[in-house]
Amino acid sequence: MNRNKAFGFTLIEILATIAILGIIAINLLYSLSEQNRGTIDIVNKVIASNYAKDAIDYLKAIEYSNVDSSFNCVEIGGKTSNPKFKDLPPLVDPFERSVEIIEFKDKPLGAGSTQKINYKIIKVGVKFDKRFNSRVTLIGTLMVEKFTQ
Amino acid sequence: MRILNRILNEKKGLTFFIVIAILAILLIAITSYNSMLRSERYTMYRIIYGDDALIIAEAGMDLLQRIVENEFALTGYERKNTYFKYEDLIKPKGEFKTVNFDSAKLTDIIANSEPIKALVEIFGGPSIARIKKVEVVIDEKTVKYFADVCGNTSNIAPNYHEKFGIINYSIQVEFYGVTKLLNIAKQIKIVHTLPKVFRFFTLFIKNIPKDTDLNKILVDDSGNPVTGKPLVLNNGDYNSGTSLSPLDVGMVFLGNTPASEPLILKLSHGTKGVGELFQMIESFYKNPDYEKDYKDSKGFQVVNLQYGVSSGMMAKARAYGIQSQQELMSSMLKLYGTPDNPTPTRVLGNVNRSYLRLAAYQNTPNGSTDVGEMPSIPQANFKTSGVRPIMEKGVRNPPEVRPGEWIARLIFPEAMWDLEDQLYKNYALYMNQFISYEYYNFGFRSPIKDKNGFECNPNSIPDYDLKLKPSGTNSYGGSPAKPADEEYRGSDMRTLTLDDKYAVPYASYKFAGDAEFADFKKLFMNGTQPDSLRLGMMVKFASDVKLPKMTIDKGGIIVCEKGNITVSGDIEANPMQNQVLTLIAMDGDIIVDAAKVDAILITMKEGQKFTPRKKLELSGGLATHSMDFDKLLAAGGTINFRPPQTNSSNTPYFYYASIQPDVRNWKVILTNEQK
Repeated sequence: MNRNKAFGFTLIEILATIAILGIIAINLLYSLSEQNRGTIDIVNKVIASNYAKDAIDYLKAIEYSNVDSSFNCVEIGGKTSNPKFKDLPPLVDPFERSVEIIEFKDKPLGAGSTQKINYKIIKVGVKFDKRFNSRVTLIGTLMVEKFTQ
Repeated sequence: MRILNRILNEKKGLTFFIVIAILAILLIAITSYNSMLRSERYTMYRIIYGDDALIIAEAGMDLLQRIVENEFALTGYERKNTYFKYEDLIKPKGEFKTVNFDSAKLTDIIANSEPIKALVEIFGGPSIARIKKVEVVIDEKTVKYFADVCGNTSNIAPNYHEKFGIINYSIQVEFYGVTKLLNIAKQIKIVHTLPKVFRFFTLFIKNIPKDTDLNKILVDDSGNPVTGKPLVLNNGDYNSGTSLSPLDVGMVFLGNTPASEPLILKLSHGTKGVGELFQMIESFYKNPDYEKDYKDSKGFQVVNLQYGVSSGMMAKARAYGIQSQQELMSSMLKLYGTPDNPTPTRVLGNVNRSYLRLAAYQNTPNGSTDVGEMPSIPQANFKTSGVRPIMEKGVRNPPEVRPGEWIARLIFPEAMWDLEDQLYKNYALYMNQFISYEYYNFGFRSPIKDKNGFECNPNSIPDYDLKLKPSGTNSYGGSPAKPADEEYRGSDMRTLTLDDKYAVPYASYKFAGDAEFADFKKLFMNGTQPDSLRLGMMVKFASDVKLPKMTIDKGGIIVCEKGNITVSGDIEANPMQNQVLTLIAMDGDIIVDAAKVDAILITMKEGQKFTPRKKLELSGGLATHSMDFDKLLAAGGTINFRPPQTNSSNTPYFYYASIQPDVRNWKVILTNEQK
């Protein structure tokens, strides 16, 4: 009896070990899951970012006067696309890109400024997570035409 | 086995701790793994944030460049600088220092501009992204001078104000604690928009068509035709009592083709119908048979070579104190009239290919009695108005050859006449200095100053005899000016042209053509007075443009790149403003269809021929490659030189800084630093 007592595990020991292992396993799995999701998220963000920049670079290469609301659109990866962006890499599912050109004319350069400026803001949003509908990369840039006094 | 049993017996209960230890190791490993993943995510987020910061920086950079270029354009004329001192850009070699634009102001204007604020909002607002710092610098180490790099035009004083270098823009943007620095380096050129020499001319014709008889075109300044309808040149008022500045005088250049053939020219001057025929022919210059040839005539031989010399004239020129033995290719002749009839006409000509006569002619309207061919004209036909040009009051008749002292007396204040013996010598030296002071080439006219900063003003030079030494100890702060005959030897004004590489890119605003004239009006003729032009810069029309009636309240330059500029309405300078408008047709005509134009007209491209459609009434100047003299004779006209166009205070207005648009010159440097 003594021998068994000396070399065995108590029930408490086993239970404690199982409990600790359980806690760790849960944390581990949760952590791995989170990290995995985060990695996927960040990868998607990078891809989304690239999709957005593709559109922005494309539009910025066009003459100022030709960048207008006709470029406004929503493209759904693998389904719909704007023919005006046919030269860009095609969107894949689940990415969705929206483009909006916002034009400002004769706006003051800044508060109290006498200088006026024509400019356009290119606003590009790329969604990539339909389930949450919140994974959106939003990028904007500026095109400046001219100043007037 | 016994040992193991012993250990187990002794460490009874240790199993638990071993398990815990293993679990701890596992925990550490997992934590490390997590940490690694988090770090990776963080790094990736930083890359994304950095990219986002870069997008904002690029937008800011776009705006910054527009602001700086706008500053160049808008302040090129007005010099109302906000972010830098325009004068700093124009400083010549030796004085130019690194130009630091006002970083605080630029940061403020960029960061608080409406477009950037709107953009930052898209990225989440100013708590997430902000413009930290904006800097624009032209480092003197990057600046080179065209005169050094491209070589000097022979005998044309180099312009060390014209330079090129690197303008460096930098913007720092912070995005979620990630700071991105975007640098863009571009080439900047600081050059004269057009050779300013054009502004010094009443009339500049690069190429007189062969067989053109210029004697037909210039008679009296009252507009009475002698042969055809005259073109009267009124070159200014120097020495008239209304102006004491020799800079208030226009010049005339008539380039002959071929250069070897003589060019004869009459000019009119004054208000009493005095005409002049300039001649620099040796035989007439000192006509020993003058009295015989012109016996009983009221004519007179006038020889007044103030400063005109030619290769054939060197013997005589030396007698006038000009010591150079070298053959002269050109000269400047300054002519001064009687006190009653000042003759401010200055003729700059290459006397190797042209010569000038000086004489008088009769002030009659019917053409046949002028003395255009005085040396060979039959005596019976030689009549004069009786008004003697280039003579002192009470001078004998015929007039004598004027020594340099006499000329110097006309120029120097009476208080300086006490140096009789030295007067002409000093005058000659003064003229050398004067030419440097006033050089009418591509150079920037900057007054010669002595070491005390005293400006070398022709009429107020104390101790000028001491200062105008020809030795190397010139007290004007540098080596002495070259003698005029060396300065201008070999220079051929016919090489003067308007380089479209310079003239066109500097336009601050560009319009397609007349169809966009409404836009032009909206920008520059938008005052309460609908005719008021407030330009203040250089603008370009790509094709034909028609200019309506205008009053110039703020001058500038209008360039038509390809096509005609039609002046359909009178262009008048506001006398209160003294502003100068320049019209340049790079590859077309300037069609003057108005009664009066106050402007400098320039059509200098090879093959361009200015064609007067109607009587020319121009206040300013005309520089053209060639002239349709038949049309000119049919139309006639007057060109009045406008002294404001040479005003030194106007000079910086004609300097423009041009940021080169070639993106291949861009150098983008990115650094990524964590806050």
